[in-house]
Amino acid sequence: MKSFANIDVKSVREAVTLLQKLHQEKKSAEIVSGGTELLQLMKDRVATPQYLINLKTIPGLNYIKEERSGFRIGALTTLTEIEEHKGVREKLLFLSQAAGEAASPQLRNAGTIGGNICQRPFCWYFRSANFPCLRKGGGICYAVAGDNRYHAILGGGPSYIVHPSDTAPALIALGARIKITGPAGEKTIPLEKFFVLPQVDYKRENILQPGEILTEVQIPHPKPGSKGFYHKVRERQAWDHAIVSVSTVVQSKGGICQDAHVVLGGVAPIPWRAAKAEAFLRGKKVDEGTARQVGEIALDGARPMKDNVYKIGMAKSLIQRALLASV
Amino acid sequence: MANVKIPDSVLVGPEGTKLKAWGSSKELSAVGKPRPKIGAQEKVTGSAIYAYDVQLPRMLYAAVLSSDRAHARIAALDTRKAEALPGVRAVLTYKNIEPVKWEQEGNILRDTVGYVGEPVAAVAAETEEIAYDAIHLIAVKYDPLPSVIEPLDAMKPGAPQLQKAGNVWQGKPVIYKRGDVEKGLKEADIVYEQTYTTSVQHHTTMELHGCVVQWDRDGLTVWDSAQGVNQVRDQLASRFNLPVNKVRVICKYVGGGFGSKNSAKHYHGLAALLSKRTGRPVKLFNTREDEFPVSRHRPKTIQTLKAGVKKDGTLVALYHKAIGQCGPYLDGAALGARATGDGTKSLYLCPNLMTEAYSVHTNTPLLAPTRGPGDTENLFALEQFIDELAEKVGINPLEFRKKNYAEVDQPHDNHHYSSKGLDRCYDMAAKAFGWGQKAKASAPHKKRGIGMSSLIWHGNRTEKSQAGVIIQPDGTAEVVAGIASLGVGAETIFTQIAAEELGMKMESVGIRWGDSSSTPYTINTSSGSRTTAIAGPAVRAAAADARHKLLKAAARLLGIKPTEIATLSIKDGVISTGDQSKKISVAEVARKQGRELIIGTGHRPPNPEDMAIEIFGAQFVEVEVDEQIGEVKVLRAVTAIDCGRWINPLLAESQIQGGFIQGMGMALSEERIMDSRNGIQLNANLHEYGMPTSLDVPDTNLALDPEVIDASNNINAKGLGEPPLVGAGAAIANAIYNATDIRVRDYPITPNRIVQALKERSSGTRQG
Ligand SMILES: Cc1cc2nc3c(=O)[nH]c(=O)nc-3n(C[C@H](O)[C@H](O)[C@H](O)COP(=O)(O)OP(=O)(O)OC[C@H]3O[C@@H](n4cnc5c(N)ncnc54)[C@H](O)[C@@H]3O)c2cc1C
Repeated sequence: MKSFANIDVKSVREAVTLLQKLHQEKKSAEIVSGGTELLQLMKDRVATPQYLINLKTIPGLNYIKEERSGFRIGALTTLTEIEEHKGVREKLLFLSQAAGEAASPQLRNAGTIGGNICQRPFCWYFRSANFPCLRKGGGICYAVAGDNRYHAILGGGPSYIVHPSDTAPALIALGARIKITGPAGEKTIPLEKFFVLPQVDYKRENILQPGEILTEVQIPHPKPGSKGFYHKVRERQAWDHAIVSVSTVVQSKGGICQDAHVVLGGVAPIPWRAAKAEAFLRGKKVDEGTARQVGEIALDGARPMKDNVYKIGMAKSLIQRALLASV
Repeated sequence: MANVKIPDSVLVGPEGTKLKAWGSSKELSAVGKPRPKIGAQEKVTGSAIYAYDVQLPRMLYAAVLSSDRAHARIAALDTRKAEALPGVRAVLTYKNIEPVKWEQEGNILRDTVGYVGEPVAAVAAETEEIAYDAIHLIAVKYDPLPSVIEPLDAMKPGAPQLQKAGNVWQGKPVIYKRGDVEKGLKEADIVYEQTYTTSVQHHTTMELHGCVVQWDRDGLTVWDSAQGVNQVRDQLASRFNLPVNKVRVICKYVGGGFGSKNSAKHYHGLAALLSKRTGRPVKLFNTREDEFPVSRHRPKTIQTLKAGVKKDGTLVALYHKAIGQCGPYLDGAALGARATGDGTKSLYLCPNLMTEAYSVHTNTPLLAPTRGPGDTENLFALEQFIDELAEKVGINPLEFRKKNYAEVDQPHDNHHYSSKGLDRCYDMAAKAFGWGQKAKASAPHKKRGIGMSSLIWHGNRTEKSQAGVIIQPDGTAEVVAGIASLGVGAETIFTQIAAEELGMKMESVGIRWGDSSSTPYTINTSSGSRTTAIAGPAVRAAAADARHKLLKAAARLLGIKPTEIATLSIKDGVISTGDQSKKISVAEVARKQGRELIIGTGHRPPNPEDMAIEIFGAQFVEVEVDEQIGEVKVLRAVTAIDCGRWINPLLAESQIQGGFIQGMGMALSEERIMDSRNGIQLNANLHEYGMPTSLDVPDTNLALDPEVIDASNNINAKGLGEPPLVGAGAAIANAIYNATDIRVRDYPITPNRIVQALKERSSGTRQG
């Protein structure tokens, strides 16, 4: 790890001002929350910031509040706290499960929801200092001709990472919004709009500008009659990122779908919302045939590479299973 | 097993006496008892000192710069910036290092590199951080040389040639033959052929590889993380041309070895030379990422098996060809040609047999023994193949194995075995497992399956071993053994053996080990599951010598003629005559001896010449497979192993449980993933290299003792460290097949491979 200076900040405002100033002075800085993800990038010398702006010393950014409109979760709340929160368990369908199946207990105890949503890709070419890949300012995405068993089948190009967060797809399926605080003040946007496809900008995974911080996640109460389903495929029951994950929320009445959210993880550079498939499902009776069709539509347009064809079938099966479990 | 005749030659005792042949462990007082592992409390409370913990005054920290090229010549090397960094005390490169020959290829640092991860430079600095900053300041310019990564590519004409003899190690395959395979295949009713592949498995020890070294006028002292103290010492003495009495290796506890810490590696040499250059102690431990090339690994293999069987299931011909990948150098290359091992040659009766093993040089890191080297790769393939054959002839896999049971060791002049409890293992494990009954799966998209495998591991050839047993003035005994504690519990077992022979309580017997300069040459290194079987008999002999001397002293004190000491015996620390008329405690004799300690020494008698020694076992597993997404859960495992006498059932169980899990890892999730364009490992970290976690292990992982008494040595033990891994993979693969009708012949059997295979089956491009 390269030497760096750590700055403990006391407020979001201080952090924002400092980040802006360092940016203007052309000094490299990274926000750090739990540090569980950033630290590894620094050890591998993929990230070599001169400054770390430590958010953990900001009081009052760690909370889970239940209000009439829904839940508000502070960016510094740990994954374990979300997993174990009684209200979250009872009311937010699968969010506790998604948080609880991420990484490992130690990482969840330290890792925050803000850091989880903002984590950098776990692509092995990106993570290795030996590969000057596209996302690090190099010329090519090494996954294209390399070992791409875990890479994107949807939304890829020119970079083929998959977004690593387990909580983000689950939160998008739940209709979450996030609050961003920056030099221009606060704004609240749907989480879905936070992520950036590589064809828009292949050097970043989200829209955060220098000086901006994710400060809160807001999740509405699921509508009455909603059922959720979450499953994460992995080789081992701890540590592994999702090979493919599915988060679905289906609101139905008498077996007929009123509204549906279908979001896939592990298949695309962003949490992948299957909007066409959702639209198809609305108003239909949820049975095996429909579920199969929804799977087909969701994976329509998938462009697998040599080692990741299997993800298509896996994702289709998961969607079918999810929908049949939702009515 | 009753009525085993133990040859007199292995029961040689002191001064022409004969040791008693031990009966069933039930009749013994210390051997066969579950004594908790010595050092266990120190380990769990964190007070055990490992090499990594050693801090010496004025100690420097070292870091190694390793190659990021698979094959290159170093065109330019600039260390000026690194040397100028404050706190840097030495930088070694091929340009300024003294010529110490390390491998058959030459010096410890050279101007060429043959694999990613090969050391290029080493730095010693005041802190670890400075050392790592310094290696990043070294500028290396490489001229690339042609490289080849995959063994099949390396065997093609036109591939860059990495050795004078060509890319096949020694220029030709290792061949074994008996009978006539072609003739056998003609006689067969069914001929079947299949190909399997196994992946690179890493040792992934919890304690990193490394050492602390001090080279001063007194010589070289190494605080090491090693599987033995003597082999590393011998190698360092010879490579640095030092007298053996000037090299001392200290290693009490080891945080895992699994075959990777047997010998002096680059890091030992570099740390020593840095210490010599700076005149200060040097600590050199790898980073976790560097561990993967430095620890070396199990080879990946491509294996083809072909067999001829009669309709009734009799095996008449067997052909096995294996290609293993080794590194560019000769060091470790032999391990690439071991997948056609004892399993194929010995496990089943087969008159016509041929094996052909190729170890192939590639620009990849070197090989090291990896728990169960050779036989593991062998049985992962063979035991799936045997199941496939059984199905072809329509016989239950267990029956098929029993039908072709070999009573004698075919590749070794048909010698009888010193013991063979494989049949007992089959029966007792099948019974405990409930072989034949499949439980219902927990969901409609899931399937349950059961599978089994045999296992074999080569027993030990005769080796010399020496140990000591001291009776201290207070009457406690201390075994003295030149071993390191690999974690398997040899030191605990030795105290049990000594206690048994001495007639003392286990608690009164301690042990000193882990320092090459204060212990005898008990073993060079703990590898090959040998320590108990090689050193255990020496410990018993030493205890017998101490006992003999104790009895002589007691006889003097009790007024018994020296010729009549045979009438004395020791029980629970009390020496008495047969009629109990005269008795004296060991403590009393020892006290009277005072400073004239009773020191027993003993050595291991050779193995009987006409016996073959092999370890056998059977493993049964039940799995549940999610057929839609390919997730596999191992629900239960039952393993019975004939490793001779179980000296300590507690330790035997934990060896078996741990070994099974390591085999399960190799079967389901462990795999080195390497970019074959440039030889860079993509998953060189514990996150992406898939060792099983505690959530993945089966709830039931049962270990069974067939109670075999082996005839090859005075403690009746054959060895257990490695065998439990050997059959695990095939048993799991067979169970997956039983559940899904899908044969995945490439390990590890990950969800993607299962889903892909299921898809190929449903689209008709695959059968079974
Ligand atoms: C071995 C391993 C396995 C993992 N497996 C999984 C998994 O299976 N599923 C999964 O979902 N995650 C996984 N993770 C990621 C883990 O959950 C994250 O490390 C954790 O949630 C990140 O939280 P943190 O607070 O430690 O983030 P940090 O490491 O502090 O930061 C991560 C990134 O987010 C930025 N950041 C942090 N907080 C903010 C903020 N409030 N606003 C803007 N930017 C911010 C940082 O600059 C940095 O780029 C794994 C991580 C590791 C190391």
